[in-house]
Amino acid sequence: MTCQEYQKQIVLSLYEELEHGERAGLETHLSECTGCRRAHQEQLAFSAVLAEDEAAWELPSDLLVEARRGLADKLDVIETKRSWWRMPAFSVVFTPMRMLESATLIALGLAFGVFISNQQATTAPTGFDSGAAMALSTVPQNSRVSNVRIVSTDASTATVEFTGDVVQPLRFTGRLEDDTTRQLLFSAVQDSMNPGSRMQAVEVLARKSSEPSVKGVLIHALLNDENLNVRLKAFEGLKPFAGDDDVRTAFMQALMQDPNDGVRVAVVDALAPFTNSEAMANSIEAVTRHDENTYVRLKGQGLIHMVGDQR
Amino acid sequence: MKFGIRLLAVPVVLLLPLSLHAKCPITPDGRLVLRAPAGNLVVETVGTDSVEIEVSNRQVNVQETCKREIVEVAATAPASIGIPDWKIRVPRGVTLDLSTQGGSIQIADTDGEALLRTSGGKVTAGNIKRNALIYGTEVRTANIGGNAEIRGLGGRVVTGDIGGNAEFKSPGGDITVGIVRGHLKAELGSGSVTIRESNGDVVITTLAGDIKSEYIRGSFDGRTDSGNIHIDRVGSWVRAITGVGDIFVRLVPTNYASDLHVTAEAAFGNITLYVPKAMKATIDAVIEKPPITGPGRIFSDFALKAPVNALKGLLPGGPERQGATLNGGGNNIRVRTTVGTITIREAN
Repeated sequence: MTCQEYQKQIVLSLYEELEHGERAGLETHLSECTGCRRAHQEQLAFSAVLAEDEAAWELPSDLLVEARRGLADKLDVIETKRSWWRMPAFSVVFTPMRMLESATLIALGLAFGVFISNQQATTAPTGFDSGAAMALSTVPQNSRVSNVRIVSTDASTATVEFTGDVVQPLRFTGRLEDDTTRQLLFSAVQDSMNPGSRMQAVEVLARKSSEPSVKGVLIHALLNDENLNVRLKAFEGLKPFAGDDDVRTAFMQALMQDPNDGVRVAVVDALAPFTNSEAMANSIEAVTRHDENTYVRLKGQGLIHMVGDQR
Repeated sequence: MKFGIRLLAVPVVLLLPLSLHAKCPITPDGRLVLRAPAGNLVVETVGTDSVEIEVSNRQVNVQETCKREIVEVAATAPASIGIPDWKIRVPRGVTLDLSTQGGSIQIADTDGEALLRTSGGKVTAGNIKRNALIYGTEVRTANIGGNAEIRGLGGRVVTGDIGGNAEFKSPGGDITVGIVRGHLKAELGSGSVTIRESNGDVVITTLAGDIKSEYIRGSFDGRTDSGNIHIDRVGSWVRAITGVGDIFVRLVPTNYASDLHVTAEAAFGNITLYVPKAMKATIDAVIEKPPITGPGRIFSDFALKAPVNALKGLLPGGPERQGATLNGGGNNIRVRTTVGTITIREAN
């Protein structure tokens, strides 16, 4: 090998890309060649400089993808020159050729598995096949199975036991007074993953907010929902009942704890018409005294004067 | 020039529930700058040639600077008086630059600009002939003739038609807008956005809530993490993304040579797309998790076919993918849902 070829290997060796034999050959050459040893030292120094700033680098997220794609294209060109039957080596780089190879292997594996399974099924205990068929028949059309978990496998009978969740689309029409409708809506209000659904459910339930169970759900949403718009819609549903003890108590709590100015402003406005005693005015003033929002603070103070004027 | 009329105000107080604090002559297209410490501001626009201000509480100390082109009003008041009412009368063409540290703002129809800001309280306005800048917890206006910038603090925002561009920003609360002649941009923490029509481009982001419009003549770029997107008609390119919710988009391009690409993505939801038959398009529709039983869930008026590299046949439960090339292909139409159906209809 020439010095030029050894110097190409120096870079590869720093990234541990050399075979064991190549590496040994390079090391032997470096011990004998001053020029290549200098090149090696320079390359080491350069790598050290790069490593110093490594933490500060913020590479674009798609750079790796682009690089892999470019590499994959090159590999495909090389692969076309190889024999078609060779076994694919493991690699994290997915090229169209490798995808095809992998898919073929998976398909072969599946076909083989189905074949073996069919053979085993003939010798499986009576009732197993019908049980599996029954289980499958319970999976409704257009449903999806998610969260599949393998419970056990038995190599001797080639059986696999697994559990999962069947998810099926639902379309339902019902009256607001019906228990089922209401339960579905209550369930939607508690869907922590879907604020849009909670918002819609609260908006619909707000039409029946005079009913105790609905009122309770709306109060819970006002005080606990993390989504501002859900709380605002719950407030709108409860506003006509600001004179009721349970709603007033909830409003006072919202006034104390809600992080949004809009909610606290709306709540203090809603409480104002029902503030007809000095004690109530004082309690609102106490809650709003240190409010960050000027309007809420002044409104609270104003209620004391309002009650005083009324007397 | 100071225009103090405290002596005059004394007999007026005896007759009116409000006390007259200031009266300044102003040109018909002058400017009123009012900075209230707190107060509910009610503005009447009348055929007068002066600015008149009455305040319900005499403890409010009003200081006015009167010039023909501009009247500046500032005030101080003890916090203990709560939120007094301010009644303001101005010529109809005067620009209103009003702010209150707390309280509602209500203005009648005006031919001038309106800059209305409150740190807490509703803002209600009639027709505003020129530009409007509004901050309030809840905002309700009739038509705005110029550009509009509206910031809600956590409450509903409702406007009529807007003659120029419109920009909305709010941590929460639904937004409802009439016809927007220019572009529209809305950014919400949560809440639904309903636009009747927009002549320009529309950009909307909300964390939770529906996005709806009857007609967007420009492009549409909308995203909601949880909610439906329903654009009855859209004239240019589309990007509609929802986490949980359905998407409905009907393309009605006015210029087929323009960029008409479509990206519609739902994690959980059905997608319905109407595509004109004359449009050049390359359709790529994917359902990541189709049902394990039953027929395919991609429906189309156009002849679709699965691409040759689709793995559906090899891997049960794998993605269902269909594509089509219309009129030789061109605009990329990329439709994806993880769980749901995809329907691509032919539009005329």
